[in-house]
Amino acid sequence: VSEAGAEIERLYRSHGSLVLRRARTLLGSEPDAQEALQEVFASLLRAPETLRSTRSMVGWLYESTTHFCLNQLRNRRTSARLIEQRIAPAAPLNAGQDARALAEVRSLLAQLPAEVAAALVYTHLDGMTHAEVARQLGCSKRQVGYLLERAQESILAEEQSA
Amino acid sequence: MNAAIAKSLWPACRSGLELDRFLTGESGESESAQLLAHVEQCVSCTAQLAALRAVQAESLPPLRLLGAPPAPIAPGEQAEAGRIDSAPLPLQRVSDKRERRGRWARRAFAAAAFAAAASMFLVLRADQRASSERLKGSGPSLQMYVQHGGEVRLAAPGEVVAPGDAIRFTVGLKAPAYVAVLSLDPAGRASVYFPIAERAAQVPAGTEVALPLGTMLDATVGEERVFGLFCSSAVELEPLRARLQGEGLSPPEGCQVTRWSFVKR
Repeated sequence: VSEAGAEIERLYRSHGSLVLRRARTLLGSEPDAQEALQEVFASLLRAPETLRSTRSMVGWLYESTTHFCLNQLRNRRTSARLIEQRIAPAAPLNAGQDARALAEVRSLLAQLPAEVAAALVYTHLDGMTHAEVARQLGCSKRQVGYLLERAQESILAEEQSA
Repeated sequence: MNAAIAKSLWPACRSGLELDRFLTGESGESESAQLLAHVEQCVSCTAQLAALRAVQAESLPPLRLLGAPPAPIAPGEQAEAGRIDSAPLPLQRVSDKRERRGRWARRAFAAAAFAAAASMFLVLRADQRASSERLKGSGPSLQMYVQHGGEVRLAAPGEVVAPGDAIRFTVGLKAPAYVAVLSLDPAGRASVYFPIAERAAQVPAGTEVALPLGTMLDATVGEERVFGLFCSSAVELEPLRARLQGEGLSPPEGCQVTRWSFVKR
């Protein structure tokens, strides 16, 4: 195992749980979250210079996990179109408000532009302030406000069309 | 998504990013001290920090790509989960099974490394060393989708599903073929998922053709094995189902079989 590999392995042990936790929330599926965990750290192995160049490893892992999971949600949306119309509905789970709200959020995230979706994730799923979201996205607080407004407009449009 | 729901999704007043930076030792001294002072007086942040610590204490699976390099896959070889057979499938001796499991592990590792980056789709392609019994020019594939709690996902081999989940199959065919999907449940009962008919149904060519029936999974837990049958004629299904339940599936002439499984619990 190379030096970078050993360092990534250590990072995986110390930081992997935060990737897994966020992927579980974003994807709502344990196998998919496990896959996201492996993929996020595999991407570090492909670009080990990230270990030196990033200012905040936690911030980088947040960004990478969000990016991977949003892509997965979009892929799922495409796949879901294939079967939604004719599949027998599954028995409803005893889902609490959080589970229902998360399912609603995932469906919405799959339809939003990447930056808008990321702003929504950081704000509502991670509880970040506008300043934290701005640092995470590398933009101004004003831009964050604009992205969240766009998200809000999409939510309203969705509600009206439903 | 209204404000009340949004708040319930992150129930603490300090963000996950701030708490994670603290837990991983990335926060500076003054930042950490400030956070701790707040957490001591805040019930929701105390609870959230404890929840994050609990996840942090979970043991993680091995990091996949840092292991030994995978054994190369010879041209035309597949992970066993995606193997296609056109010859009868005799019962295996235990020693054979052990050997095959070892080969499967090596191939699955290699397959996963390649497949994960490219696609989550399970593609079951025909062995390139085609025999005369195969459908000419075809490379049939079988995928399964699972609907759980209102969400739909593509299943992978060995996927864990739950009673009450709905499943549906799609196939990929370069040429029209007669298709059937059979299963052997954990109790050893064989059944036909598709079609509800005496014979295999003709399915048009396409990269991902959804078979027209979805199935709600019953309460029998354990590993269920699924067999996708791709034939050049409308074969009778009851003899195949009975054989599957007895000695194992022997594909009739002109048919290919894809095999994989899911685990219900």
